Amino acid sequence: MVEAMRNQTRERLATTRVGIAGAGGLGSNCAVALARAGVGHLVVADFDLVQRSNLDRQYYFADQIGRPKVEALRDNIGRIDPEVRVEAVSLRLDADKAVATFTGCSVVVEAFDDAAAKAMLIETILERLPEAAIVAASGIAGWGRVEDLSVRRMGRLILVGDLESAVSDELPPMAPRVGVAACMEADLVLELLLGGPSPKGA
Amino acid sequence: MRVTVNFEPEEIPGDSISVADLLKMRRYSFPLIIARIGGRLVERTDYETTFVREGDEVELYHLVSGG
Repeated sequence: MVEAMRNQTRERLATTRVGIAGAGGLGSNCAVALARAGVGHLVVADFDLVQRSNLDRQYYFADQIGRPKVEALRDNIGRIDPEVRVEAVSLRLDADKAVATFTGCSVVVEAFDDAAAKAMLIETILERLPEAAIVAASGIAGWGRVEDLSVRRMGRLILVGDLESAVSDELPPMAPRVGVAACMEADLVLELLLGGPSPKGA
Repeated sequence: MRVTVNFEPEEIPGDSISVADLLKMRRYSFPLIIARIGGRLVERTDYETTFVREGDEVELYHLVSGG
């Protein structure tokens, strides 16, 4: 019974396509969670290379320093599950490129670090990709008060975070909190793809 | 007038207020904000010319860096 349910869910997810804008702390961890959950096709866009300073929270390894993040992430997901198709888009997204990259995705995950880029992507998806939902994060720096990370559902836009804790010298992004937010984003993607949350206590 | 801001009821003097003035009134100082009225996104360039009126459901959210 459990096995049948699991197979049914994975079958549904295997045919879905999810976009991920940014392959840093949020994007790399969110992508891995979605791949493990069984999402069949991920479109990941980022222009950056893996740096040593990324290894404190991002899903990369020391021997990948200097490589484009999207390629390293495709390799890492390939080692987890070679069945998952990862489209590695190595470019800096503006509005037009975001539309071109994410057309056909039923959900797009906003996983940028820069607030202006977050706003650009959210506005672009809401205005120009009417078929897609967007799951975004705002306020995920530091540590502690994990219960302040909330979810705000606004139609096609779902926002995760405390909406206050910006990254700064005093408030660095750290693996646990960024990982929690990344997995909250991934969980919301599943909720959207599977038509709602799983029943309680099932 | 009575409106809701982020799902909380709020009494605001007058019968309309621009999104820009509402943000000032609530001391929203962060430069990047998502504003929606009745579920509809208000473009940043329209904050001065878009008005909140009696009964409107307003949502205002900060976007801060980190990811």
